Amino acid sequence: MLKQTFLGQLLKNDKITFALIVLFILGQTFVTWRGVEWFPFLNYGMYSGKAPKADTVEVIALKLNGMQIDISRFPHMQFAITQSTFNWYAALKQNNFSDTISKVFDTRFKDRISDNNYHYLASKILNDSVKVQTYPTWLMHYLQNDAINIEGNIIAVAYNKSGELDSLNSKQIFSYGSNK
Amino acid sequence: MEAINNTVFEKKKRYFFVGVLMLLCYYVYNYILLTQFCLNASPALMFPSIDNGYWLVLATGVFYFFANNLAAAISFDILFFLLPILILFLPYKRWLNILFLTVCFLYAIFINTIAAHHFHLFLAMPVLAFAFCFTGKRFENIWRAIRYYTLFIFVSAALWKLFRGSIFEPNQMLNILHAQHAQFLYEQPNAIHAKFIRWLITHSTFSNLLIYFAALLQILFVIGFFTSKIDTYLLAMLLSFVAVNYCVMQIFPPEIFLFALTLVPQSFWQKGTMNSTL
Repeated sequence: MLKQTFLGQLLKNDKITFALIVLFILGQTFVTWRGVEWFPFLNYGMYSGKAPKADTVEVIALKLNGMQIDISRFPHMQFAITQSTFNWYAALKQNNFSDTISKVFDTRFKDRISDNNYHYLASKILNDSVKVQTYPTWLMHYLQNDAINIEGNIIAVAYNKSGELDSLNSKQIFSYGSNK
Repeated sequence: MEAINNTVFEKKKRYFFVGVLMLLCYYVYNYILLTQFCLNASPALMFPSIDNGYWLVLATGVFYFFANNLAAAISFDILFFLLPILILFLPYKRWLNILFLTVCFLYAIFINTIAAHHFHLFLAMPVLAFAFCFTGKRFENIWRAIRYYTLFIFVSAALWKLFRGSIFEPNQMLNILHAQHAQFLYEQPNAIHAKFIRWLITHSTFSNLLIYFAALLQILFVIGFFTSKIDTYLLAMLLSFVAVNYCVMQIFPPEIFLFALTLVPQSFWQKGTMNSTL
């Protein structure tokens, strides 16, 4: 019975491919069991997490050269990336520009490797708090090469009964550049 | 035997690498090539998350070499375009395929690190490129394994929903829609698509049923583990899923079409090739 399966046939005819696939299955099983991801071992949840109530949500309001730009009009992936980098910057800013994964990093490496290696790895894996603060400039040039100023705000909005959004309040995340 | 296999191999190679080139053009349009990210300044943020695979690549310093050096980023992208063309037009050379595998593997890590979002389906290109590092029976075996991986993607998505209990949550889909479309509805409230989304939001009974429909569609891919005779239907289901996903969630992952190639029935690949009569 098992000999008729794909893996059974591989074991008989192509042991190298069999070994590769078994290794992949073991790696995938391990990360799934641990609830983590180690590229290329990924978990495909596709919105399987319990979605919290989202009657009130936050949206991004970007101004380039003083003009409001609708990021949802960008091509799909550029839209997603603008949103995710903006939100990541806002999260880092809220954390005083210190990387939010530094605790996990410490759990994995602190006191387990030499100080030199620890600092080397930290410089490669964790966000540099000075570099992070250049994000508004980077975003400005990424979105428009010759832009001279950019402003980013987060607006809290609430859904009303007809599914439309009402603005509640606004919070500035960054403002950068000259006015000329 | 090798010649016969290679005929089907050549056809699969053509479809895959032409698909890759189309995908790369889509990336240019989306402004997500490495050069486009690094054109005026090196990216300010990194998001390796807590993924050891990303940490390992970042620790080597290779990411910084390309991200902080425009000439290197341009060279990387040129190679990214050039390799599929060379592979398509030159006789089979394994080292070209291995080089392409390396480039698209690194691209997936680099862009996801810069993007602050890990696009899972970026894995499609390196996974399929890996298959083309081999020929003959081994290629076919790996291709078949990737077919199982494609099925796994959908089946596991259904199982996650089931075991995490989200499918049983009241208003799960409504909450997802609220979060997913806020930016779009805020900026383009009068768009036709926005009217459809609002209809879904205000008809929560219907929209909440969609999550059951999605989970059902995903779990049905399990049939593919037992037979390849219905691959045409599975392919149709995959394409339907992509279409519905776009309409409801405004998510369009073009890389899924590369995985979809593994669900194309063998009869299609054999048609017009040397083993068409087999």
